[in-house]
Amino acid sequence: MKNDESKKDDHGHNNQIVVKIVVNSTPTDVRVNIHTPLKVAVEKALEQTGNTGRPLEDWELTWRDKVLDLKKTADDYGIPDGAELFLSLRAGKGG
Amino acid sequence: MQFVDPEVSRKKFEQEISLFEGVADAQRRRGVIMLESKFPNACFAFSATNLTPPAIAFAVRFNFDNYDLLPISIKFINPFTFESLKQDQIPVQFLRNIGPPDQPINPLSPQVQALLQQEPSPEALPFLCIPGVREYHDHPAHSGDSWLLHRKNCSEGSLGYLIDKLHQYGISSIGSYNVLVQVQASAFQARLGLNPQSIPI
Repeated sequence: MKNDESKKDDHGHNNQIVVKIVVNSTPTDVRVNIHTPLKVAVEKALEQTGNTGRPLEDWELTWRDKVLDLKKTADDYGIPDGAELFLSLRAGKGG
Repeated sequence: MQFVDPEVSRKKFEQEISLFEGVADAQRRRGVIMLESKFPNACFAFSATNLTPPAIAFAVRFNFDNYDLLPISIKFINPFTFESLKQDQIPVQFLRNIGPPDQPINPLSPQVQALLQQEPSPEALPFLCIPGVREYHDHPAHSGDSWLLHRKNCSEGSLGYLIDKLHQYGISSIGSYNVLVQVQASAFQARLGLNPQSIPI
């Protein structure tokens, strides 16, 4: 799926990657514009896996053991095509 | 005591295990490996893959008795013998940053919360103190936070969710080995060192 024509934008730039987002053990492939906030990818992943019952703020996206800021982009973090990210509910208050 | 029809719990157990198996490769790459799956229990090892050599940081037994009328139980175990462990036998602290996200963190400061709890009794076993874990909901301090408020709510309390939280709070902030050597005492103790800046929110 790498570097195919469908990933090019209107100006011929290849800004699109496809990442695998695992939502509470359910994987889904999400096409991501590397210059778009990750929030968009999370919304797509939640919609594709039917997890639409909780607000976006209740979820956290991790990649390589780091929780990502959803206002940042895949480009900001250097997330490559084919990366595996994990999306899960934030833990409720405990301890 | 099993009071839910065992076939119901077994079916839900099998569904959860099947979901895990669908992403087992991705989980293995981040250090999560299923050791055994035999209803009502499933045992998993959690490894710190960024260390050299990589370490099994801890292992747990998930118990699905009466699932999902009751939440899944988590017990910390020896990954080789499956014996239950006490808190002082677990080399991981399970810390959560409850302070401002962008400020420097000292693991001993009040803005860091210990999620691994254990009653003072000598027989007590440690538990992960977050909603969705049976031991959390069974604890008298959380009698106002029923499991039924969380059940079937975007998979909170599911096997995948609990694996994510164990990995997040148990593995993601490990940055090194902390080795303590007592010279002339034939004792060797190693704990896993935290990177304070990586303690998750």
